[in-house]
Amino acid sequence: MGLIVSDLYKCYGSKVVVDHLSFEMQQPGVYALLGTNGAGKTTSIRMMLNMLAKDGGKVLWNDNPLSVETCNVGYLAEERGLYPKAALMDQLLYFAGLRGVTGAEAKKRIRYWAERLEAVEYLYPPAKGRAPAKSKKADQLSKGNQQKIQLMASLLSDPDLIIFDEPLSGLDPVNADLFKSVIREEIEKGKYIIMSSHQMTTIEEFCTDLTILDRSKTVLQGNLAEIKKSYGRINLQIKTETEIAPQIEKAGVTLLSRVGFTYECKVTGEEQANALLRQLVNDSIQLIAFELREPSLHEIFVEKVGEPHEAE
Amino acid sequence: MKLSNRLRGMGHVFRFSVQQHYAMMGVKILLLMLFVIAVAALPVARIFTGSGNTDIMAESTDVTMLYLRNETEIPFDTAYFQQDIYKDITVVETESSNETFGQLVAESKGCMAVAVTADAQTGLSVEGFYAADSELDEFDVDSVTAAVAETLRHSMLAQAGVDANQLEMLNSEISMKVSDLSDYRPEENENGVDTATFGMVSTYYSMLVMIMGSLAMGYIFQLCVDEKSSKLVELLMVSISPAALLFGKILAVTLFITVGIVLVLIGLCISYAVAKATGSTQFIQELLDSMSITNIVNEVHVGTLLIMLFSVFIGYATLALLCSIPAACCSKNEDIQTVSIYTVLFIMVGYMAGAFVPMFESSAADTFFSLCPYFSIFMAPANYICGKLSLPLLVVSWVISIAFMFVLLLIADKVYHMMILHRGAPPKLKNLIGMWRQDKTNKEVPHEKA
Repeated sequence: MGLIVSDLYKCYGSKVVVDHLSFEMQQPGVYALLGTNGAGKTTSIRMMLNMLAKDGGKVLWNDNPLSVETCNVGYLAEERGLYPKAALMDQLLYFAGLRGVTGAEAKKRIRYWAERLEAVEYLYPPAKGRAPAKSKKADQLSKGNQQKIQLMASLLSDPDLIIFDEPLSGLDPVNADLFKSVIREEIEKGKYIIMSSHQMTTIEEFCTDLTILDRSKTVLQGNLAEIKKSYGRINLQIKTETEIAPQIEKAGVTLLSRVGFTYECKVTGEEQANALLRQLVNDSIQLIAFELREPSLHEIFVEKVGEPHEAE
Repeated sequence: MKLSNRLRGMGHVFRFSVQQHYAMMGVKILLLMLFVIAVAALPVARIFTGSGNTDIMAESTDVTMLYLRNETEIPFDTAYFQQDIYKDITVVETESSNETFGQLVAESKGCMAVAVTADAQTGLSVEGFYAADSELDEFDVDSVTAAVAETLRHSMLAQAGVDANQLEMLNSEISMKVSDLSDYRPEENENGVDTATFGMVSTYYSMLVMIMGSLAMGYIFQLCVDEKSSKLVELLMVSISPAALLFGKILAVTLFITVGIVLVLIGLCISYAVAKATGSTQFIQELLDSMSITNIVNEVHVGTLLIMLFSVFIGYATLALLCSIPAACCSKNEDIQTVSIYTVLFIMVGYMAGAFVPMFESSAADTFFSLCPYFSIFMAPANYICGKLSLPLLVVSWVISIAFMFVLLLIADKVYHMMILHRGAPPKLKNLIGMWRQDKTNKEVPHEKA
């Protein structure tokens, strides 16, 4: 079982928008598809889901071409919406029906997700007087609550392959945590998840493997832990109660940024970091924190997409 | 992709579209209004045609005694008056004044009075009276008064020495026509349908198809834009194909229009029953006469109706598929206004052909347009009804229309798929064709990795 994307290619006239993208997911987990604006992420996703015609390449699910018939896909698009004037329950039953989930089973799943995502009051409002209760309409909900309904719509069919495009965009911290907990549950259920986001901290929380695109080309690909390890632990964060810039300069360490007495530095390796630490101790500097770590995904991303490409 | 897979989910799209359409209060109110208007149509038409005043075709009367004051020299032919339902009315000629009439008509429940006067300026006047507390209704009195007027008219003509044939000639309409001597030919063709009738039938039929197409256009444009303006396209596209989404909507629109038409027809049937129960329906014949299609309507039978229904359905389906192509290019409601203008113009071209080609009085033109794709939906059935087209040729026109529909279906599917994720203003036709060609070229040229 697995997803294979091989040499995906798309061009509009002479402009190449996706240039031979390839990656694989041989086991369940989260795969991150990252890139700058206009890099080709959404186009790639749309080609994978057959919304856009591919100009080259293939997408296989369990060795069969990926399609509505061969794969149960859930998709939370970046550009998402609901029918503004239709009752939410009607819409969810419709979306479920389109995925082959009908009748009592659909209602059961909607109930489950409504409770899970704390949306019961919108779908099952209390009856007023003798009039039967009707679920609210989409335009009566806030943006965050609409996104809950949209997430429900993408998960109602219990898909095997889930694609999240900016899933936490526009959410407040409480709802963001709710969404994250749902994503964790789907991971535990053994789902194949592809996530595209500009929120690197979120990606780091979930993904195991990634591809970074820049102007249609793949600039970095592989397992996140291994990529970070390949960089080594070169980011140093120091928190003190006094000024230590002279010591940093003396040690030959690069000072990246500073906020008050919190210093972000880059070292050549552990040796240089240890030398600086010895110097600070010798100078009786009161240290609050001294952390040597691997670069964050954000830092790797910024570095990679900032590099000039080979001539096209 | 197999056809069954391409259309999978179409039923859900159909049901949801219908459910949302009829959930709108505006739609329910509109249907109710249509029904009420249809029910009121014929009785109201009778009032406006004024046929109640001169109609002597009531089915029964409660009047038993008629006091007649005739101040003219025209003799009243009681025998002519006492025909059909009026045969039991006793006619008493009197010279009582209007004031005395009150005492006379109060004598019994079935009494009424009529005064006939003549004036050099206003002409002949026939006025009916009945008691305020009489059990006679106004329609009954109106009917008897009309019968008295008709009797006097008959007497006047008899006095003038006009016989029955001359009377019929006097009552008929005069038709006029001017033509070049070289173009002169007998007015009736071998099938007995005159040119004026053919023109009217063709115009009305084209109008019917145009109306159906316009209705379909409005609905289809709105439904196609719904998903794009609501940003739902991508969510739907992982579940169903664009073909299923499009054709599910077209089916839903078909139901909307069918329900509306059936409701109007039921209303008209009720209207006819009401009109018949409350008076004469002669005005309907007069209305058909004024539309110059009486002889066609009188010859309509079940087979003709079925042919008409099938032809109208083909016409509607063709226009619905045609409208779905520009609809697919719209991203938001504002785009509809621009694109619909061109669509309406295109439909109007078909209507104009149906309305004006008969004027050429050319059997070659009639046959050509009956077999020409698109124009045949406006013209072939009318040509057949009026005897300008044989049944085998009508069937050929159907086959051509269905083939044309199939081509439109493929184009609509392709364009809808191409434009489903399109944002921005609708592309021009040449750009759309360019996109189609580019899509085809990209498929044909393999792109190998460098």
